[in-house]
Amino acid sequence: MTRVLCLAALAIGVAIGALGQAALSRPPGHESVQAVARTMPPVVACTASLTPADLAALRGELAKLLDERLSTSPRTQPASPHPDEPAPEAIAAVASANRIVDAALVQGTWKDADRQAFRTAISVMAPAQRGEAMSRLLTALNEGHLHAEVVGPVL
Amino acid sequence: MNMKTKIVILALSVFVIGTAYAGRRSTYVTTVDTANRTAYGDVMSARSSAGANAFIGCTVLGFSSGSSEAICSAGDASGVTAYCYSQAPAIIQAASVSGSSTYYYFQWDASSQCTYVYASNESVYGPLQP
Repeated sequence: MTRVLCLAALAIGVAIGALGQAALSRPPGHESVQAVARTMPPVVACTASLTPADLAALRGELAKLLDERLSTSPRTQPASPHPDEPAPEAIAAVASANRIVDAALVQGTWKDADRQAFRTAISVMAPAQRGEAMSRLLTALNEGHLHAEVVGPVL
Repeated sequence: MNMKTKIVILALSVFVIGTAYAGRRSTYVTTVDTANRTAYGDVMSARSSAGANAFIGCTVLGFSSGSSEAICSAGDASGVTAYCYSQAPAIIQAASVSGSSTYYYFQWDASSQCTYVYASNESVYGPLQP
């Protein structure tokens, strides 16, 4: 649509120029017309205005094009700078659980107080961290490095 | 029919009737094999064990974060114990089968993770009486 309008404006400009050339052949007394014809070439201004229907059609075309591009391009998720970083309290809980097990290993026994403190620590851990803490404790018990002296379950 | 025959028939009847009411029963005292990383036994046998060491069972833990875990544990009469844990849904589900007469069999790996849990509530595992 814009291209058509531009071509139309160009045609009008050429016509004006032709008229100016015609004026040059006129008798003197038409200098103003001659000056215009020499100093101002035909102006072609592409200031096309669109009707609401044209705008709607353009929007539709653009939306269709964007949809096609987005559907064919790989979707990328915004990368998190630290996707698997545990929360500070979880890190502190891991350190606490390790201290509890370390102290118990020195004594060689797993007591009620150890169990209670360990329970508190693992409750705020992420599952992976909890798995590691449990593995460490239970393996120490299974291999005989720790002897359970608790009333009831070890955890 | 003389008196001796009547007594024999009566005795046989009592035996047959008594046997029928007891039902089939199997008892497994808690056994821990640390070399092969296996443990098994039924709850009733552990509870009725003469000493204070025998135990067996599984516990399921739930956390507000949405995760859960299972811990299975066993101890034989001599005091040898075994523990395993798991975050695997299938293991947790198996460990959740519990009752006053449950029979358990479980295995674990070098990091003490349960690799297999068998839990059964079949009637053969209890109660001990009659």
